[in-house]
Amino acid sequence: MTLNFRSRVFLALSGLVIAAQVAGTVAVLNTTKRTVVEEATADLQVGSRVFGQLLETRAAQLLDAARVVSADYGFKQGVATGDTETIASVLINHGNRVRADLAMFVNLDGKVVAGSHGRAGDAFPFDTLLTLNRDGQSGLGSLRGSAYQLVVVPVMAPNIIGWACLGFIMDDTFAQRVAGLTSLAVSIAVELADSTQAIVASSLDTSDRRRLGELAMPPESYREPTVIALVNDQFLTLAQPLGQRIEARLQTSMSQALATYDRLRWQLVGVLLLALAVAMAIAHRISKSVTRPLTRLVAGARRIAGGEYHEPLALERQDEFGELATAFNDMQRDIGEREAKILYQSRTDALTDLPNRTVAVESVQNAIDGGNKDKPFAVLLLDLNHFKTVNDSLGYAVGDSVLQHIAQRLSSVPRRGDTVARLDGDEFLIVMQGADVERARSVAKRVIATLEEPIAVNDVQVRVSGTVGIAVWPEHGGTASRLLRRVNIALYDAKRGRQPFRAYHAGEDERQQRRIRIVQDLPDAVRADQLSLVYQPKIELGSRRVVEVEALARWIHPELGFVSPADFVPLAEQSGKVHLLTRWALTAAMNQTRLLRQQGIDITVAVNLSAYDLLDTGLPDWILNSLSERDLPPSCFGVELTESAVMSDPLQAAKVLSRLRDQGLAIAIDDFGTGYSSLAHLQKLPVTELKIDRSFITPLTGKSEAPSIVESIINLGHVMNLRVTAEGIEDEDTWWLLDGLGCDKAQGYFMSKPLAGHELVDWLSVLPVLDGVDRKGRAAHRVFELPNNEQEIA
Amino acid sequence: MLHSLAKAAAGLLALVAWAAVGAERLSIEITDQQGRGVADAVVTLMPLDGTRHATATQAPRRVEIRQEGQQFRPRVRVVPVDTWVSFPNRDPIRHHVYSFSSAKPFEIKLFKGDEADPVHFDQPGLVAVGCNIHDWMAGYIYVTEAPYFASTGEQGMATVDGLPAGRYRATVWHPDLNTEPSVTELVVHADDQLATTLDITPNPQTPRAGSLTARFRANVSR
Repeated sequence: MTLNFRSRVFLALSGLVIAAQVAGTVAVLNTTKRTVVEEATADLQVGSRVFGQLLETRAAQLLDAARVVSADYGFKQGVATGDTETIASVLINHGNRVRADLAMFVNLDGKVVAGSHGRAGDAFPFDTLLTLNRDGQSGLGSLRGSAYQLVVVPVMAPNIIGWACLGFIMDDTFAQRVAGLTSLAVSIAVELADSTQAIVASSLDTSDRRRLGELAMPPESYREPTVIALVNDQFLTLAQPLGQRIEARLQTSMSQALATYDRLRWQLVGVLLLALAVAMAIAHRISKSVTRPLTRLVAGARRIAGGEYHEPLALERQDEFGELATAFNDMQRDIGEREAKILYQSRTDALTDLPNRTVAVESVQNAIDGGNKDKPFAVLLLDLNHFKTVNDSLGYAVGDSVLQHIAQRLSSVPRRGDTVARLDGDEFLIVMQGADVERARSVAKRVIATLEEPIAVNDVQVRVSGTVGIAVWPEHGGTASRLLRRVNIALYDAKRGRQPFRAYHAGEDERQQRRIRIVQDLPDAVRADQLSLVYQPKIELGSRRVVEVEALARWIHPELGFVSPADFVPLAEQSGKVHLLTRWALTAAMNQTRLLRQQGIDITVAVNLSAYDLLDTGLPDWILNSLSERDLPPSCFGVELTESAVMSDPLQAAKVLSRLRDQGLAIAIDDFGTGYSSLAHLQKLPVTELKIDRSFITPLTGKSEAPSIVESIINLGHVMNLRVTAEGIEDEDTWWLLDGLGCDKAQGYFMSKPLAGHELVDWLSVLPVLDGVDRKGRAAHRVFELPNNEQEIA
Repeated sequence: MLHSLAKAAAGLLALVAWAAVGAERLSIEITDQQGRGVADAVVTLMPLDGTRHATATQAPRRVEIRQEGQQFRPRVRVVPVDTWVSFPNRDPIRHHVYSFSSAKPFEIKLFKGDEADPVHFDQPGLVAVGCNIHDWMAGYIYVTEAPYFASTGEQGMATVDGLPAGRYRATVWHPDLNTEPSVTELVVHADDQLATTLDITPNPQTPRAGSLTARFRANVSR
């Protein structure tokens, strides 16, 4: 079981006090008891010496008395008679004078002549006391269950005629008197004839005395005071042999000795308990006072962990806990500040102090969450035009400063509740509450207007312009992600269309998605044979000979269905994947060419190249190698490039095309008249053919000036020694018109739509043949049959 | 007697004795264990060979033991049976002479200078005489039936003259004897010597010394 800190403190403190108190009390009590016992022991020892002294003094006194008695003439005379009765009477008489309890006269043979105890003729029981010394001798002895202090003196008449023995009984009275003098309990024990012992004199009370008589004294009690338990009390006891078969037992009451000790003990225990109670109360208080602030600090810490930094800890104390609380509050405040700062930093763009992308998205989401369908809001996405050039030409420091200025200008645009945020780089987002498309447009206009003013940075006037995309909720998308995607599309479209601002049009997203899809799926389509080539015949207007086919790519997307090359080719070009397309187209076309030649069809196959293909310096060699691999003469193959593709890098175009032309490939300029061509460059290009864009051909039968333009182009081409092909012939009148204008070749739906490989073969097979075999032995050309076939073949 | 432990005994009794027929002289020398001459030793000679000798003494004699200097002087008298002993008081103080002996119990109170009637000692035996007033005074009358006897003088010497040769029982007694009187048989032939060593503890007749005695003495001499 783990205790909490408070309990530990409490237990420690009270335990400490308890331990100290108990130890102290026990020590004191032990010492006191020992001291008491030692004092009692000392008292007993002193008492026993006093007792010994008492006996000696008494003996001396008795001896004196006995000497006087024995020197008395009358006494001497009496005992000298030898008459037992006389001697007895004399003994009585003189014995009484000194209050003796025992009197005997012993003759020179050691026999009792007369005495108070024993019969005449008995041996004197205390023969050890018989001495020739005139001073006599004292001793202690017992007789008949009583103890006596004896004195034996020789009776000199004038020589020794015998001994007088006087005995003074040591009875309870004696014991009590001695007890009174020594403050001890005194008992005299006598060994009886049957070897039992009897207490013949004692100052103890009856039951104790009886008990003492029953006990055998332990050996150590003869040396030093020993505790012996009697009935009523325990006694420190010292046994003192007094003579043969007689001993004194001196005792001091333990309970008396310990009386003061007992009192002291109760007092000390009382103090101990009191101190304990007080200590525990104090310990309780202390532990509480320690743990209460800690508990509060813990609660405070938990609050902080939970994210509440605002409520400071109120702890009014001046001590360490107060300091801890202060530090704690400081920490809490710092954490709160840091968190706010981090939060701020995570939501704010560092450079401009505008809200960042995260907040922008949040605002949109919040607006969605909080809005209803009747209150639309608009999202405006501002992108600065060509901002990279500002960074490149003036440096990033200036660029940053410009952004800051713009941010400031933008901040003034929206109303309250609207959000202006900086996304990345040079993009800013404005979320406008309660705005529809029209309102958004006017705001976009204002935004554009604010940018028109140049920005002054370090004495440099920087001009920037921007494009704004607009999307409106819920019209242009119900979710934040969709809305933002569509405002991006709107922006992109605006940029592409070089408009200052543009709102999202429905479907563009889908179109955009489709475009993205096309781009993504194109490489797989190339590999997976979803692409195919179709061939549109190009027919000489004069001879009506089918001399060439233009290869066009077709894509049947598994999901999107038919994808027009007008869609996927530019996308391929933009996404850098046109190489795949071109290589595939070239390969397929070459294969088809070989097939045709195997079937005796000798016509040129032309494949479209893009401007990006011109950058591929390995392309010409690849084409030539591929042709030679298939045993195809370069003259049966051709490439077509748009005017604008060629003119994007005329020098590079010239290099690549020369390589091809040198080997004999046909090279045609497609969509002529629609691009920015330089006639100077055009002259230098190794081109064999111009193809007039259909936009000039289609209205030929309609507008009046169209034929002249076409005629001019035809003449221009002829002047430059080029053949001219007209694209987009859709009816017979146009055919004849072009024929009249001197156009060399025609291509269009009137003659044939683009045909798949096998369809082309079929179509060619049904055409009449111009000549069976020409002079060179080549297979004759097929000839296009005009519907009415009225004109003769020129 | 009591202490009849074998106390280191005495002496050697040198025997010598042979006495010449006729009147021989027996020289007696009694010493103590330290070799000093013992005064007041009593030697009695009882013939053993049945010859009735006339007692060396004829008529009952008269002797005296005086009280002098608070002492009995002489300390010891050896007398034959039927001797009259008087006890004159030569001291300036009173004496109360007594004896509780079985041979002759008597008591006489004597003022100074008094002389009471002599006491007839008609029984053999040792008569110890004391003074009731002065515990230290002790005199001895050795009443003997033996025809020949003597007591030693200061030097411990005595002689017995007119001693017919023959066998005798010699008994040596002294008041301070630690042992029984020594009894020996000897044969006297000619001038002989009897030397005996006795185990005695001298016990002179002197009062207990002490400050009380000294004070009285001092008072008296002033």
